[in-house]
Amino acid sequence: MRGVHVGLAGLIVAVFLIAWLETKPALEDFDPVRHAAFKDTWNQRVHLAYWEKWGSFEADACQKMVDTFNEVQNEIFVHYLRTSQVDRKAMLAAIGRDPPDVVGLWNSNVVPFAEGGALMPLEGLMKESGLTRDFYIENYLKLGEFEGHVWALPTAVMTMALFYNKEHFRSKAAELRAAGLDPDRVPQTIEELDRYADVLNEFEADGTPRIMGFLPTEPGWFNHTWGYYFGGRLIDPETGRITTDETANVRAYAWIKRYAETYGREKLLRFKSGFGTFDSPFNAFIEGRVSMEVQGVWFPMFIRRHRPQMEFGVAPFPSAAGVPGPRSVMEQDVIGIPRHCKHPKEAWKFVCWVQKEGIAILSRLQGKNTAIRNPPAWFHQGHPNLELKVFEDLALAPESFIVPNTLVGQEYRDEMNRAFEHIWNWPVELEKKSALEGLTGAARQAKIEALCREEVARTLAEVRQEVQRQLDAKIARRRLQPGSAD
Amino acid sequence: MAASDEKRGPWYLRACVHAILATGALFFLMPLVWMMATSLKPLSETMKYPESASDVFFGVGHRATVDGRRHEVILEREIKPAPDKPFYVVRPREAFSAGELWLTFGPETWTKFAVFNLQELGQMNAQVTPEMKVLADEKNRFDPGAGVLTLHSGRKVPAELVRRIDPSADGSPLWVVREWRPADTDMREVGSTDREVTRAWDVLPASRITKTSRVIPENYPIALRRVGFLRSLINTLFLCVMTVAGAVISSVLVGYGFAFLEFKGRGLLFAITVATMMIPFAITMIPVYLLYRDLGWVGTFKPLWVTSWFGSAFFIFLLRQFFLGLPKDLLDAARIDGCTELEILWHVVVPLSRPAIAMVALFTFLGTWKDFMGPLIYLNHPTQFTLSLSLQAFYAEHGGTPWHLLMAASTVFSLPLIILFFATMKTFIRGIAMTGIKG
Amino acid sequence: MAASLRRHLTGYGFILPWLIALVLFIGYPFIAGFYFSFCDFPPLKSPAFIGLDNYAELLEDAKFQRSLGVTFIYAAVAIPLGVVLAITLAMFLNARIRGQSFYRVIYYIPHLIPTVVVAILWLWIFNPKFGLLNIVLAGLMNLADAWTGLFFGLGAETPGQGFVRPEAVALLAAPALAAVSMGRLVPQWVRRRPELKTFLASVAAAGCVAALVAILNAALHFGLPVDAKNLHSPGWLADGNPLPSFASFAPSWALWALIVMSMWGVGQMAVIYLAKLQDVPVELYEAADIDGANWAQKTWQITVPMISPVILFNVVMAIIGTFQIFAEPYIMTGGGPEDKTRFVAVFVYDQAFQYQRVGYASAVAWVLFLMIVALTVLAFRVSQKRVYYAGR
Repeated sequence: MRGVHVGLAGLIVAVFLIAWLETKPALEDFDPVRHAAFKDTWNQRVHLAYWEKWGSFEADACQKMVDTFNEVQNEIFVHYLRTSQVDRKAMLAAIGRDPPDVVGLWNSNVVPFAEGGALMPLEGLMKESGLTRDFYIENYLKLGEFEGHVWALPTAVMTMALFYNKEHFRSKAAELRAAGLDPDRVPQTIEELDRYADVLNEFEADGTPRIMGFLPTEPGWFNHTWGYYFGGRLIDPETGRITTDETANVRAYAWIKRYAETYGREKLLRFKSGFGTFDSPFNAFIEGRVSMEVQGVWFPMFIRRHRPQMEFGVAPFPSAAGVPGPRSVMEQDVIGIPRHCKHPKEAWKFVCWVQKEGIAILSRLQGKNTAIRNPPAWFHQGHPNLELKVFEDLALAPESFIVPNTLVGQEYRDEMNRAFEHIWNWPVELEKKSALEGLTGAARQAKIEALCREEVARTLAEVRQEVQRQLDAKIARRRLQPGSAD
Repeated sequence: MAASDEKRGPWYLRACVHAILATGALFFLMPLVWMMATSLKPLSETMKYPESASDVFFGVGHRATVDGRRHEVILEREIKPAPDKPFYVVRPREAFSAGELWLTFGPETWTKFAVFNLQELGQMNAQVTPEMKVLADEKNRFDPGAGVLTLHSGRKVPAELVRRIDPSADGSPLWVVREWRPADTDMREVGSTDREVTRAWDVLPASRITKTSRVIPENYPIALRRVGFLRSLINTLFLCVMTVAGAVISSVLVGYGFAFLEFKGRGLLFAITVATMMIPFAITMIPVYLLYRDLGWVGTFKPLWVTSWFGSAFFIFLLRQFFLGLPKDLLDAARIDGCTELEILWHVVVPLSRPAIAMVALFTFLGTWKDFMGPLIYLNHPTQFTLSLSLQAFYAEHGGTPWHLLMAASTVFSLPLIILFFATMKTFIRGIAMTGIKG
Repeated sequence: MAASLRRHLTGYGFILPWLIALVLFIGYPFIAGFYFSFCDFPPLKSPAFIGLDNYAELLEDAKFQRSLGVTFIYAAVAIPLGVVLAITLAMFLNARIRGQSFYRVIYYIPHLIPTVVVAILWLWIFNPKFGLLNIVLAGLMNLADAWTGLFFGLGAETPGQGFVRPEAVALLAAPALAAVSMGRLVPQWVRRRPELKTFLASVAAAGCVAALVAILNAALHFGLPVDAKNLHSPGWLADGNPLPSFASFAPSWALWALIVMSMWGVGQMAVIYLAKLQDVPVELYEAADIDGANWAQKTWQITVPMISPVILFNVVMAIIGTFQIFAEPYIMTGGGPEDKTRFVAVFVYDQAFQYQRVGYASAVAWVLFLMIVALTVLAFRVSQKRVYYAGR
């Protein structure tokens, strides 16, 4: 054999070796600090990968919870791996048959993951370990269930409420009183909210909003639930039919449109784009650019982090006149065990501990309310969130709601977000210019609401048809695949 | 490239062309300059609308003397005081909780003001410990004679006077300034509850604060640490080396085969090769992914480099065209001498094709370095991430977007390619020209 | 016999890796994808045959149609724009000036920046409040207002002076100069120097543009469509409205943002064009000069035909490339305001990896493949008459 041939053969062997010898990264090797701290039992423990979201102090809270678990027992060591876009990555990993042992998701991911066969059903394990239904607040447990199986259990839960800037209310007390509103009280109905917002709005000379009385686009993750505050529903809970274009929903989104037009779409784009997210000192509310907005239980912690001196208040978001309240949407972060993970038994041990003891620790450190119906006594002592009570009461309020889990949850959300953006951006000023001539202020807004109703109804009807079609198609296709419970 | 002098046009035309090209170059380079400028700013400066042209590129900073030393400071709050109300900076001798302190200066100024150790405030119900300083005013809260601080809750706390601040006679505004350190530029560190951070602060008139430009090279180490740069770099380099080796070897072999060896179906196979360039990645992406899954390769690096060892249509095409342009007699001579094909390849063809092979190597390197979708779907563990994926994961993290850190990481990420380009410019340009001409 | 068999085997041996790739990594997925497109296939279960249902659904799927629309609109705008820009740039780079390689390097550098960096950098540049683009635009708008203010009375400072100032007459100078340099009234000493004529013509053109800017800006201030005023700090990636707003099929602001971003990368194609331009024999130009051709005729009848093979290559690769655009929309907008930047590659990825519909995604991918083939064939057909292959 001549030299060249030998060389080529050697090369091929070398490549083969490199490929063969590549090992997937072992969890144990990448945490030298904890390795040192736990070195006595490190090698006997089963190491689990826990992919979870969160950043800054919320991540610290989760780390504390995981550390507590690692300290109270000797068989398992859980590695909390902070992962961005954890649901996408978890889905990819599940499809690639390389999932983590425990995964943290959002409740909107439960049905897609369950339907796709990516999660293990937990109700049998719950029964064995003594986790009963009445341990939880019912709605929070329901969010992780689908068709009789429990696919994921709650970790950090939330409700939403109205945040209002007391400094603004105080500085505009005279104007509020002149308009017949009480500056020391919060609006009790949505119509009252509109009147408060009208007084609180401030504009620059060229019409750009300087301070916005109420901005419905914050926080932006629950734009599909506005209808509920007007008495509408997205899905009929008994029949499972999609009911996007109910009258109440149409009213709700026409009401949203009024705010888009009050502040001017283009001007709003400029105004909004400089805002930071909820975890930033440039958040609209924290900066004082928005007087009232809807936000969740996590928000007071972030406000106090970025602007500790801010004076703000929290109250249940009002419903429309005639609609029973107070009510709030209930959503949560969930925890689940992927199918085909490497250590399902140990993973369940961890998840069970999280439910029984971990979420109290987690919720307290993150400043949120908890899914447990009767939290331990120490939970409330020195709880960092001074406004916790409002959110806890909302979690227990009879009118608080969840969007029921359906096969088309993801698609529904996406379509509703698209519809929301479309409604928000639809140029009513251009299209209905003649009808709006000469109207100003509240009369103009009312007219805009009325004019938009048709377009809103059309958009929502489109969403309903599309989502219903997808739902029917999915149900039909299910008959071809074996059921999701095996 | 350089033409003789008399062929060049008249000076005014040349000047025009220069002007146009220079303006265009300015616009093309502007994003990169902006990227580097942002990477050197502190976060607060990136979120400010620039007031002048220099603000666009340089962060505005302030310096003042606080606690006897000159610091970089942040202007926390502006206070417009009433002319007859001085401020006191006091140190309480007992602890009290943050909610108990409530100061009134009048309706047009602060109704509640206290400056504490910010980290403590991160945990609610914060305690103001005796070492901390607190801002108080005379009439309502601090009695300098008795040394007593009356809190809003009504409690009287003994306190010692640290400093008395008289508002300036002409009513010009005062600023509360807080010491700023470059480490504060990382949003995540500020706000994480297990780090203690104390900063000096004071109340100063605007005249005692000087404006400077602030350049924060510390953004770079912070950003690189948060992105996990070293590990990602190693991963990316590993992939680049493997793909380059594979692409070069396989394309040369296969190109040689198509160019010089005769076998049945050669024309047809080559036509198919060219046709496969039309297949969009999306079609094969999913079945290939499922194939790798069944092989158990998902979650490893293998899917990202193994295919390059089997050849790529584009490079095979290019190299074949190039080989066909080589002088035939050398090969015939070698064949007559009795060399095997592999030896002809290695001893005759390869030395002659260095530019083309270098081009294949360079373009493969470029492609692998930039690749995003591949790592996105095949790599699961953060320690395996390549530079593209780390950067995107950093961007997608929860919370606010730290543009300054992102830009710092981006600058470092792009530099190696630019340096490589400059180092191998001739080959690059020739390679680009070749792709165009052969196309 | 043995010798020729050995020759064949050697040949196959050399191309063996590629043969394996053709079968395993291209052929099998190709056919598997075809099979999947007739199935319902959640990726964690097995495919179930459902016939043509996926394709039927494709025809009705509004989301897919939107994605297709986005991709086609982008292609229709970005590809011609890119070609024109690249050729113009190449022609300028080809001018006989010093520093050609320096400029070439500068224009090429943006192509070297990794895709993720480009996406994140331009996300920051397009930030409507603090981004570079809006700052520059605001500066340019101020400049334009200052320029217009010289000729028209914006803002009505002095009543009675009227909207149009007397100085506006100066705006006529540029068109006059253009007419002079293009027309017959060219003095002899200019006619003898064709470069001077070109120079004067370009000065006149620039002057016309400036005059037009002044007039248009004045008209805007007078009150024209609302969306024109939107040019003051537009929302870019957050804005899903079409620009110009009277054409509903026009790209949205977000899509325009992506188009602008892709224009940043024309340097690569420009360098290729440059290489080809330098191959054009100088004698052709000299012959044209002798025949008295002007600059426009030289470009259209010599330059463009000579580089037409590269143009064809560029267009075909760009068409194929548009169907693969993934990283930028995925990172920057995730599909965009109201699906306005959901390119087909993003759509396929979403369907496969998020909605877990591998069968449907495969059907979409196949339809795309057929479209690419059709478009490529069309491109070749169209080009047969137009593309000139020197020496073939």
